Amino acid sequence: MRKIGYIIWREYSSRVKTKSFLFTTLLAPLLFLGLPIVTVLLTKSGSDSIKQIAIEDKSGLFKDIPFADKEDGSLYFKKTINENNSDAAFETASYDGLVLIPADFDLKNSGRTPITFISRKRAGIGVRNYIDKAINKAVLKLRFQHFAQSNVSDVDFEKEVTINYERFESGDDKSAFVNLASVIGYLTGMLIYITITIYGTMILRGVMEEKTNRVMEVLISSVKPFQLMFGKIIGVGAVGLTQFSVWIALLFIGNLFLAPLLFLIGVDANGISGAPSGMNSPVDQSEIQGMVMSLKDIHFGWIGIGVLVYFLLGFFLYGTMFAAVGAVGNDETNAQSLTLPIMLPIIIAFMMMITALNDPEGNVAFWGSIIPFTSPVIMPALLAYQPPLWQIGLSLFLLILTFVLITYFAGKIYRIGVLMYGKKISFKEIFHWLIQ
Amino acid sequence: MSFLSIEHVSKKFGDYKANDDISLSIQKGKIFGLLGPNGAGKTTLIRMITRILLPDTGTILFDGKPHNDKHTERIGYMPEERGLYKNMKVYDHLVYLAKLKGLSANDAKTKTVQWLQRLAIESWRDKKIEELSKGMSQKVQFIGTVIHEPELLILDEPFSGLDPINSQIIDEEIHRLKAEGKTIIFSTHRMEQVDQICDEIGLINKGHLILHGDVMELKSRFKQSIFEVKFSESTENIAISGIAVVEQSANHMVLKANEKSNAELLRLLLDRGLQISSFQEILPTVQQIFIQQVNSSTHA
Repeated sequence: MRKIGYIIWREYSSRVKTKSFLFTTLLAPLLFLGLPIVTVLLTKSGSDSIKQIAIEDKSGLFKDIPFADKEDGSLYFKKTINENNSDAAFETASYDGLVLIPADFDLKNSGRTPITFISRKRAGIGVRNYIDKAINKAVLKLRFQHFAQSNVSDVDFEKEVTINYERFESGDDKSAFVNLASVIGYLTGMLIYITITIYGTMILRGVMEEKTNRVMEVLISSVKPFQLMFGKIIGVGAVGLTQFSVWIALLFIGNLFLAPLLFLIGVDANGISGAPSGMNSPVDQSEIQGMVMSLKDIHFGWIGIGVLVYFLLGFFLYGTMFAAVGAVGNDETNAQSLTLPIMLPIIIAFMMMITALNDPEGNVAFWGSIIPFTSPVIMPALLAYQPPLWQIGLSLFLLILTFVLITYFAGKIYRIGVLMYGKKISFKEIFHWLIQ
Repeated sequence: MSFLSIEHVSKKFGDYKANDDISLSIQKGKIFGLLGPNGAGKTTLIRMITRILLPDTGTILFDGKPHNDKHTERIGYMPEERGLYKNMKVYDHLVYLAKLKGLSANDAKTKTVQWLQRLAIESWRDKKIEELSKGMSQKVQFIGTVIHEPELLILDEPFSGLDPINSQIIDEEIHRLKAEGKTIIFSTHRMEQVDQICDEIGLINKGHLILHGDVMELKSRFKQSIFEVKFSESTENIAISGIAVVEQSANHMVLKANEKSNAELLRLLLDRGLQISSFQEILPTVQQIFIQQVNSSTHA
């Protein structure tokens, strides 16, 4: 055990002391500033859990106004004919969501008479944006019908309609919460994806270096290959953890300063630009206020622990696979082709994560958070949405089980692979080692 | 007393028998030459002695006890394919290797300093391995092999890549370690080194041990009764039955005397009244034995 400690320390210190480590640790957070772009991407992609939306127009104003369905048919509106109690209608009908327009809807200013969107499942920001747009378009048309001829000067045609998002069972569904949760989910998923990729590759290179350098044989005549493998994975993992904690610390500091900062910017933009489009600034301000408020709703402590657990498990799962590939590879190109089967699931996981965040209770989110090879990226991203405990439990159980199995096989490949010099090793041979 | 006993050890890789029923013992304080052509199974045998591989069947006794992982701390191994971490400093690297061999952090540091002084390379202390020449890093590698004062030392081609001066330094160190009572396994293709250095040899071919024993004993076993005789005066011809002249010059002859002892041959020569200034039996070199045995076992 003492020796594995020495190995861990060598692996750790030889990496942390490099300039490139300092560089990436401090520069990577700048990457996160690219988030707005990602948010745009998020909103563009579709959702599969909210499709059919009923419109219950109690005001009767929208009788002849169409609501625009999504071009690809993934989301469409239907007006209800009966004017019954909305809850009952909602319960029996096969609608995923319901737009409820109050009887006293005020066309000029909807602030006091908001439109409510009720859904069974939580609407992701993609769905919200689309519904917002569709309703605002309809209202705009209606305003033209009503006010265009009459010389009313105090009508702001483009004034955004207030829409409250609610869930059918739990009631109020804060829009700011979803925004913030998706931001946090994206950040954590991204962090895990980046660290697994970067540090997995680091493990791979480390093992290959030992093999091509021929230092391997000296080492394994002193310690067991298993100790060497795990010493390296833990050492490199500790490097990742160091970087991770620096990033998280920066994130926390960022959060502390960011919230008030966003608020200030919101106010400022309002004052300075004089509200150029006429529809952004007041809403933005309230949204930011909401965001600041909902910071309290996010359980940072639990998310932190969850992220840590998934990071460690995901890292070890992929780390052992990277180590095995490093032990088999003889040169860079050879290793690259062998890495593909490992990189593929991580990349798929990352792409699934984007879809999952857009629709946190959809199929992609669910299966992505359960399947062991994708769950280390997707589940942490979903934690801010508070998925049910059994889902987390099942996901953890499968992940740990897979980890144990993969470690067994990867250890076998590693042990044999490190002794094979100057020979290209085929998948067929690896398979032989495994069944031996 | 045998320090290492290998008893009926076999190792298979798939269907390939790398080592087939090998038994040999290595005496304490001796230098044992492990010889064999490429691919004969030397590395596999060494890897089993260093516990990198485990035998399929057979046992290995280390200092009288069944071999176990704890023993690796008493073994120093310098593989033929050697290397070090390129981006580590000489001092850090040696301390690291020593600690992996079970030395405490303090001992590892003291020993590293001692060895750097002994081989007069203290000035390299803070150099990175990648800055060293091949010969220099070989020296560092040698220190890394012996730093924990192993009782069994396994050196695979220790002189390859060394210039004559460094070769001599390592050669002296090997003899010094032997004088300290360390047991040394020496694997090489360079047969002249075996003649000079080894007390015993084992010859492996195609996974089998085909020869094993004391160097002097083997030489006399495989001697072909060839003698070099020098005369103090020019000698034309000697016709003695049963003695063939292999080579001849003015006052020098190489004779092959079948089935005759040294004394008999000498007496026959003296009986002729020849003036003999030197009489010496030519023993086969290890290389000759090696080639002969490998060929005969290959053709068998």
